[in-house]
Amino acid sequence: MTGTKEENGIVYFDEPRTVHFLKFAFEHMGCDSIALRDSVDDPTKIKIVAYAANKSANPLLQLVLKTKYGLENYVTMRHMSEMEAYSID
Amino acid sequence: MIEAHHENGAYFVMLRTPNAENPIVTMKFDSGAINTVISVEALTAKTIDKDQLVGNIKGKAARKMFRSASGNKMEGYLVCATDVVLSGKVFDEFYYYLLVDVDDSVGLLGDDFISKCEFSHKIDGNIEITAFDDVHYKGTVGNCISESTLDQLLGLCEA
Repeated sequence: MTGTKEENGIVYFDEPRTVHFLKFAFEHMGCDSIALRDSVDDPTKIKIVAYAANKSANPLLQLVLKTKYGLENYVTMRHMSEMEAYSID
Repeated sequence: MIEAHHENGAYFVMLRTPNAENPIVTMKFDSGAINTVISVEALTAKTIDKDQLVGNIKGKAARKMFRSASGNKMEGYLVCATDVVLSGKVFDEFYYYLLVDVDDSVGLLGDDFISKCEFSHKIDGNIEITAFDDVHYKGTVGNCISESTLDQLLGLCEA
């Protein structure tokens, strides 16, 4: 994907990328992401800066949030797993 | 107006809850769920000492036992979140049961919320919530802890 780089299972956007939250969540099920705390005017959209390429990179993403971005202006989002989203439970 | 996104036969909305550490949660419409529930895992990435958390909440918030279709029992504690935004609409009070013993990120909009909504189904498959019965929604709740208190407790109970 253009404007991205991947390191140790974490995908970083060169610039914050505005995405439709639910569409992004379904494309990256079970994988956490980091977004700007104050987002865009459209309430269905968010600005993502990085995300875990797979579920096993979620713990590292939390470390990246604290060390690279900081908790003041950035938040993590824990996306529902495929099993939970499509479960009939 | 709230628009719910249709995906593989289910409906989802985005919940913004400003006092939680993870302030954005995917909520699935689940009319089979009696109450709205959110798991601890959806609200924080911290590893939480769940026994300690339950010890701190017990007695302060209404408790309810839930049972999944597969038979698993889950304990939930009533939380009141304020100034929550659900796909653009602001709710000054939003209630959910916090699920402690679920090891996944779960958010279900249950019948306590859905039954207060008026819907319109769109051609693209999505649905719009065109009206919400706020009065009866607020009239159905019990003792609860605030979400800001919950956020403090989650900080204290980090394992």
